Amino acid sequence: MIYSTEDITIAIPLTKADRQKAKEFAQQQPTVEKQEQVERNTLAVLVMHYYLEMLEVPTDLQASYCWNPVGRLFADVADLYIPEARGRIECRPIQKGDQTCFIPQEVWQDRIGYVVVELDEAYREGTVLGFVPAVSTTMLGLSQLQPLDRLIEHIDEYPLVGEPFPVQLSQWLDNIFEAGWQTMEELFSNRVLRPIMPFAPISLGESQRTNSEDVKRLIEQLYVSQTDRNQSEAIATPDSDPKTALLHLLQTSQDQETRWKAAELLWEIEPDNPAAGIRRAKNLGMHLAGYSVALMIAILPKFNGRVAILLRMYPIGDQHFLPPGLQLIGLDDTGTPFFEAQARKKDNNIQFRFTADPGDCFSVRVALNDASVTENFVI
Amino acid sequence: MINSTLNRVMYTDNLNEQLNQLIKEARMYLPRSLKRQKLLNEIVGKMQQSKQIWRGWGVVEELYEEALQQTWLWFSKNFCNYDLERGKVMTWFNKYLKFRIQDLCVEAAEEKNKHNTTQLYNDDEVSDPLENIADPAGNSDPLGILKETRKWLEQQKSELRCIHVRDRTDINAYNLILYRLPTADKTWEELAKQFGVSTSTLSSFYQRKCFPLLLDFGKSQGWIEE
Repeated sequence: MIYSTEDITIAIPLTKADRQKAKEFAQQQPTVEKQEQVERNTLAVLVMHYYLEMLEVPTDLQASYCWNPVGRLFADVADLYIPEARGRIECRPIQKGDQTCFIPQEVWQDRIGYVVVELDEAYREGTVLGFVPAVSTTMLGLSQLQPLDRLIEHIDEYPLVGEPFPVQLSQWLDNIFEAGWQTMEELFSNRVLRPIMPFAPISLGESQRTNSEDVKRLIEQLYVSQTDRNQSEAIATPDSDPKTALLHLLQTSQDQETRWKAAELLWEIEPDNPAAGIRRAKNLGMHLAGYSVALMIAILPKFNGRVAILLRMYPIGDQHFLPPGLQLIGLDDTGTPFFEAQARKKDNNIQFRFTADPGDCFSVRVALNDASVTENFVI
Repeated sequence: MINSTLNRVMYTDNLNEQLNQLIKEARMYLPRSLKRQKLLNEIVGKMQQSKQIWRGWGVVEELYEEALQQTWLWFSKNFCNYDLERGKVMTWFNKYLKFRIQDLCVEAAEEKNKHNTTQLYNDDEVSDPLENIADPAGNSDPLGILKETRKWLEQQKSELRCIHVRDRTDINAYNLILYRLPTADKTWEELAKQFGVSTSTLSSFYQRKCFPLLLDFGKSQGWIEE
């Protein structure tokens, strides 16, 4: 997202009454640092309150955490509750000249979006610069801000979106998972049919399980394909322990497809090994015209700081195959589809892989005829 | 001389044309609709960028800010009702702004006479005589809220200790809230090091499990400000 001078920013005047309110809240704080923090947070929230009032979007200050004296005392919060969106916007203050905006970790969840408000020195005016729908970093660069038009759309769309708060994928790497996202073992433990590795030869399909011979053979194939691509790499011999061989591939291969295959194999041998990335699956329930499907997401960090994402749909229950016509659609943060996959007859899974950066937002829509379920994510 | 005047006139007319166009378009949509909101956003942005909003030199600053805030609110509700034949939008806006300033001046003068104080618009001092009177319930006293919360924390100690991070009974609501007291001044980084977990684990647990308890306590005490 490019924040250019073409984008509109709106300046909202602050009155003496506003400054007094902010001072009043500030004086309730026991330390100088907290006083300044609360004063600025309060003003930023008031700026957004007036701005949204101009746009005729009602806000509820009393329902905002920062209007609760205990809330102010125990967290660095600057939220503004928006009843028609059933959610709150975080309004973070910056000074003129700042290029980044501090977003404390205690507000990374439970927000429908974040706006940056530039307060002038005398607190006579606050300028609404832009917004992001989610954050996963304490220092938000102003260049990442989206235009205010997007904020208006976002608030407008909000109640229609299925899952209100985006799933924070980076936190999966810290073992923090939102409700409903289980391990493959947990999700498929009671099921008759286990999901089949997509790239495994068809002969595996019958036994439903991979045995060590098959694994060794597949690892061999991976190494061979590696040699074809990267001539100079020192390769472990296929005799060595499969786990070591796979870890080696994960840690050294430059080819993302190879790394994913190695991860899949490692999941068979040692599902909890973090080197294979983290994967979780969610049962999407019977929302889709009576079919029960699961959405699996795996994240695998890359060497350059980027993150590789794998999305896959599986049938749950007694079905071998996904319902024909089932769609898996990926949407970027403006709601534009960036991929679409559709299940044909006798597909036992559909998938998509892509690479993204920390802070990126995307949604996944699973649709069958008229029914659909949407999940939101932020990396 | 002539050139510059001409240019100014042309620029002004161009702005006015743009504003008229946007208002005409906004009229086609219902109030509070997405399209109308976006158009209003653009209109306000253009008006502010044009620097043609009356600056109010010579007017007491606080009066100006208040008048301007009220004028924007009025404008956002009425901009579609304006008869574009009657004259320029900017002129109409500025006229309203000047009237608001006048009204506020009159109000201020009346207040001044009533209370007989000369410090109404002095930012440096506390001007509201009520501000110095302590709230009998102790609500505006910072130590009051902190004190009451600490009392509550101790009373709820055993319950709060039961709320903890999975497999870590030491990372519980009681401990974490104590550490996050503004007087304790511990950062997430320090706490993460101390407990040997990531800052995300702590802040996530705090936000989801501890903070709501504090908010509920605040509400139950009737401390929410008007």
